[in-house]
Amino acid sequence: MSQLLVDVQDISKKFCRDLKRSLLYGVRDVWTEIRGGSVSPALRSKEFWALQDVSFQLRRGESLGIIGRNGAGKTTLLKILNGLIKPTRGSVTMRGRVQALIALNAGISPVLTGRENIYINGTMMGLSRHDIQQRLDAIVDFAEIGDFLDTPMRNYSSGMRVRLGFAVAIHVRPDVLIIDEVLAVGDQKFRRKARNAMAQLLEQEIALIFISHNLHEVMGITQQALWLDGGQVVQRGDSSAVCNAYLQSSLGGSVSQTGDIPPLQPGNKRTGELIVQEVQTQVNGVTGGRAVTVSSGTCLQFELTLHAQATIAEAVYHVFELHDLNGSNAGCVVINDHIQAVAGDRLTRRFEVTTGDLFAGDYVVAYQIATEGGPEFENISNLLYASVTAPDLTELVIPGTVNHLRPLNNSRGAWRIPFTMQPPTAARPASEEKSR
Amino acid sequence: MSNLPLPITSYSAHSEVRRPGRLLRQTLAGLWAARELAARLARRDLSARYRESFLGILWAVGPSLITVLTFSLLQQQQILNAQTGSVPYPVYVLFGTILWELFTGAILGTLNEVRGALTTLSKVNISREAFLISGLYKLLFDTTIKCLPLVILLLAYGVPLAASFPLALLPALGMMALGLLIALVLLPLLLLVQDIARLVTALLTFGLFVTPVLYPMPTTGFLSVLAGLNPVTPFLNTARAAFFGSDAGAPAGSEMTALVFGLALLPCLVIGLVLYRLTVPIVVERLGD
Repeated sequence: MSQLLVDVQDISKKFCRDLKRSLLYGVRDVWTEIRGGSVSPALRSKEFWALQDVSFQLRRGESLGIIGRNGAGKTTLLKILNGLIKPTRGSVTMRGRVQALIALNAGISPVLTGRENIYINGTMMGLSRHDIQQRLDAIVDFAEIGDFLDTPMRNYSSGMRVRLGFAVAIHVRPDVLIIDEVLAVGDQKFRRKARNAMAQLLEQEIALIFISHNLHEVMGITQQALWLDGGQVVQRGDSSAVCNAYLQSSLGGSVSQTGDIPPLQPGNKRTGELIVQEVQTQVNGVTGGRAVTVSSGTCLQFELTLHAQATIAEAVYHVFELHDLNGSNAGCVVINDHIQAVAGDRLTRRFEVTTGDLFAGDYVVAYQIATEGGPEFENISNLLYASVTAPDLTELVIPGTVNHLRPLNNSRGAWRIPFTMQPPTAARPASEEKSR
Repeated sequence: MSNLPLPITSYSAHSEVRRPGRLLRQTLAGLWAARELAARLARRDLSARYRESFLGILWAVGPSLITVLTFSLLQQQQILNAQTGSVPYPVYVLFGTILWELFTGAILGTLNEVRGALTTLSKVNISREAFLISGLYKLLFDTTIKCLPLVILLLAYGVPLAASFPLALLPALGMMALGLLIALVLLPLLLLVQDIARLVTALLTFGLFVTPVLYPMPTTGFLSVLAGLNPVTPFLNTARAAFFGSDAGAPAGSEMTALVFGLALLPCLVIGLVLYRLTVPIVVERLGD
């Protein structure tokens, strides 16, 4: 088994909400520290737990994504891991050179040139002058700041600053690399480059801790993920499972206040002769509920169980409409089918969606089943919640591939179908597929 | 590459004081790790400071020259009556001011340096000591520049220097070390409680007048008692005596006191540095962003 590099045992950290009180507690804590005591593990007035009992271990070549809402304790955890602040309880043991990218602008002076700042930044990260000289070309090359090398950093765009900071950090060759949400400012091209660089570092057997709100990046880069909420670990495990669980929770939260996936919302024009009873999704062989995360290009399968309330023997259309979470229509697909059922029958229909042409983002799929020009048997405004992420890392690492997301064009009132669907497999072979 | 012995770092809730050996080692390692970074930080700040200014390094001398002008005017108008022996009054004041600013600069400079570094210290795990040293580098740089007008005045007035004048450097460094020690001990309070920082700044202004900077301390009366209690006084007197010779309005016999103080400062500074190491994470937690 490879070498244990990061060992985090039951870390807790408390903070104070009130500034003045926090400063006084600070004075008191300094005094306690000098006397050799430990800060009381109980909460004092106006204090709260920013982190509670977080534990994990990382070995060489392993990677851990940390996800969670703003204020969940992610950055606090990183600061403790990097020894910037002390834990209130618990302990951290790190082996080897630890490099943390918590903020890229720390220590950067805007009046100085990029070159001067590379030296300062590199020295801060523990490189000697000689080391930096040796790596300067590689750093400049990676950061793509060429012509701006001798320009004061004040005149850099924020993206350029990020590129420079990241370039220096990865050229330090750490054993443990900790990256906080710093890449968010970079453009797509650089982010991809940064992801590849991290993947390469992982191959060289570093341990990586990666914080991001971009779940697709987390899933693409890390094997394991840790979901924090209110300072506590909600879930830890396989990266895509944790990200999916987190996404389901946050999607539910953004649609309704309950924090759960909202129940199916039937429209009032339906006849109710056929009712959607169950929805099951499947992505990469993992079965899930009505909320699903799928990376663009991946196949999403889902199965509808329809409960017949009356005798039906008719040709019908399945209509799937895609909306983003703001309610804008993003596309529509109509699929022919034939229903043959008596009251009480349960019919299942399996569909397959290729998401290759969708923008990354969160979508809601609405569903209707109706006869041509006739009544709608069923009408559900929120059949599925789908979060589409950009293509995953494995695809991006291949040099020369191009991101194949395309903009949607519906300016002429004609819907371009942004996703393609296979005909239902449990039904009779579909006669045709058409778009509305 | 795996399974080589790697450096192990650990952080826990327990006070570092419980492992004094380790703490001391870390402090010394921090100082050692700081050597290149401190120089780079100092160079960065100095070049940044003057890069956008037209008068450049003149700003390092300006304030002390104004002090010299002000007090020379008061002396010349006989509002002040300082007996400075064979040393012309402006030279006396400039010399005193340079040393005094070395002392106050060590306190306030360290405070500002660490305060300015909090953002960095809350994001990057680097030698905390580097900022202290870089602050001292900048202070020494400024002091060196301030010596230029002193040289000009010395030449203009044709003041003879004592043979022992290079030795004045030792008590001068003693003043800086004293300032640094005060800063290190008070740092958590100065950073966390702004009122105390303001109070200290005000006290330093008062200190200027109860230290023989602008005029020799009277030998009797309340001021003489205050000057006697003032730990800066022996250093300042010793520096003057070494630089100008005994006839410089400085009482003899400060040398021994300065020496004892100076030697006592060394272990105290080590303790101060250890305190600083203990303090930083707690202050960063409260004030860093």
